[in-house]
Amino acid sequence: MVRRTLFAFAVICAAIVFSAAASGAAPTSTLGPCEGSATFQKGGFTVNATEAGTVEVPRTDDVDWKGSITGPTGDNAYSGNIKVDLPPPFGSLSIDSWSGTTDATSNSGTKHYDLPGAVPANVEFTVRGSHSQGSFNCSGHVTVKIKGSSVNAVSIGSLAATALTGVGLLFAGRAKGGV
Amino acid sequence: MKFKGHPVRGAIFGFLFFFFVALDLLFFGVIPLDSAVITILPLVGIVLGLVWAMLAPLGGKGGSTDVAPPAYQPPPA
Repeated sequence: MVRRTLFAFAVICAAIVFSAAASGAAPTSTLGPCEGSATFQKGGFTVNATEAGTVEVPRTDDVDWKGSITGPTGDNAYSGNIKVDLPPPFGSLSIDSWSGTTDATSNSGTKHYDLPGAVPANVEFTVRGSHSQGSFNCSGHVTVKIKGSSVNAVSIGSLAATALTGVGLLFAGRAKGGV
Repeated sequence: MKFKGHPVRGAIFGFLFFFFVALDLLFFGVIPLDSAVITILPLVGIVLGLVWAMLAPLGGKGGSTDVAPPAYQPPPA
């Protein structure tokens, strides 16, 4: 169950990250010389790098993203990664990383994503990203949740498991040798 | 420490019950994915399961079952 859940979140985050931060510059609350934005076509809204708060995204959409970094000139080594925060003490789950050499300081594109129905909606998770190019560093994070109802196969299954294990716990409280 | 109930069952089901309660809270949007509650609740569940098994308030031996069983008497030869 845990592995399936983590995998589901990884799928969500990968989709959002690719749409919003493939250039390493788009997560909200950025620190450093990066700028970025992502326009969700079906959702009809744009998320800017400076925006705070929780971003609610549709389960499926096409996202026009763009990002840039100010400062680097000429060919520079770059690297970055995207991670999802997990409950302590598990740290974070790495979703994507990139590295290489480039003289570009901006990038853009369109990404389609379609999250399966089993991925729970209405669950908040934090995606963290960082990007280094030459001597310039950016980092940021965004809190994301999928629009929709919390009631789906996964949440109903979890409720059923709660009820079953609750019964098991009740029986653990029966005295030995009791009727 | 004397357990009237079933401590192993209590610990296991306490862990699982509170783990799924934490998942319910997560899936219904009460807590975020990175919340420490997801880690803490199952551990609390182990403790509560053990306490539950120690107290064992359900069922239990009735007054009559506390009476010692009749002594075995061999049949007359």
